[in-house]
Amino acid sequence: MNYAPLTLPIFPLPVFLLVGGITRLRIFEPRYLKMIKIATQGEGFVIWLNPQTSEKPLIKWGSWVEVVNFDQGKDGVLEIDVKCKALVKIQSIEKDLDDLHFGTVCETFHWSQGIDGNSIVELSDSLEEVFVNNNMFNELYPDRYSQNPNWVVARWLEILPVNLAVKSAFVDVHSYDEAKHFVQSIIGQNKNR
Amino acid sequence: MQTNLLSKVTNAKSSSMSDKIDHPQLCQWLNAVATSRDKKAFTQLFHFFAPKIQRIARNKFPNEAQASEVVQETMSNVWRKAHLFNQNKGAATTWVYTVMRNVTFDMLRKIKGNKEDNLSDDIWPIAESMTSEDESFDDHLENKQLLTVIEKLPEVQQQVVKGFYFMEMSQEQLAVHLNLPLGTIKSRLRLALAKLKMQLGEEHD
Repeated sequence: MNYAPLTLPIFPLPVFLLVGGITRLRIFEPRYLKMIKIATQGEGFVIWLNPQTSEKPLIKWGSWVEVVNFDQGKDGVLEIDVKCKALVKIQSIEKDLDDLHFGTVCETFHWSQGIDGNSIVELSDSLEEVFVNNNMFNELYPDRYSQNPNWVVARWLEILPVNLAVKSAFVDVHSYDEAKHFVQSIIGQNKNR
Repeated sequence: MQTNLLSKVTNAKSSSMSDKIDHPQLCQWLNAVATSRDKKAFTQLFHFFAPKIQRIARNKFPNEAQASEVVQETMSNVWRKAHLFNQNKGAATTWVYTVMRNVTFDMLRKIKGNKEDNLSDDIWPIAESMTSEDESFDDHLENKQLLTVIEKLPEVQQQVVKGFYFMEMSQEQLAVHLNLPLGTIKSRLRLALAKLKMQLGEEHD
């Protein structure tokens, strides 16, 4: 798969988001307000799961997101909902005068944007239950693709309480099966149906 | 001693007692630390709080080194736990002094373990002594309220923080959702991780 490199603003954030994933962010720093301005006029921005403890950027990938909704919180802070449209490889990163990062990035294919043949009823039902019982998820995900196993596994990976470094292992393009088994080993076979 | 202390720790803000505190600015710095690990913002917080903490701690501990330890511990906790701060629940100063209070408690507990007779009851609560010591600790919260708010802080804030930034379930939530004991969830997570490590082999380490 060949994609031309792009230059996009980069937001270092401890958020793990695969294709189709949506999250709400609160934006208050001037440089990131500027970033949102650029992102909404252009082609979105990249959430970069930067390991906070390390100085060296070990993680070379990011979640390319676009703003799908915005609002103002009770405290007046800008809240935006972003949806991941692709994963990108980050080739280089630079900072501008406002300390905002920009990266040269290249779109890559990831299993979370595909459709696997075998349905996984248990994980689908279980995820649907989580979403139904959670106002925030209901609000964020008006459209749910619970019949698409890849979508289901990706959403489960995002919300499971697992170290971000572990989650990062599933960014590998061929890791769908591992991801599925991983989620199943935690969620599967619970319901006495 | 006080003058000596101030000049030793920092040359900044010796007049800050009478200065007005820029609360929104402090909130912004804390939030910047929380969301983007902003080192500049943390430096600003350090400049603001370190001399104050040092001064208070110096009154609680017999020597300079222990007071400095309180500063160190408090500020590193602020760095690590900034995401737990919620400006809707109270001022940034309140939150940081709560962190400091806990650090001091811990240290005093350790000392107490070593030397039983070293302490008297007049050391606490720090919330009261702070307000009388320095008007900058004045807050829109009453002391009584302060304590109840403090007790409730971590859990509520965690929820808010997770909801907004991580979209991640806690182990407890997952246990409730799956109708399983927390211990089972924990061991399942452990097993899953161990299995994954084997599957992925050494290359992903």
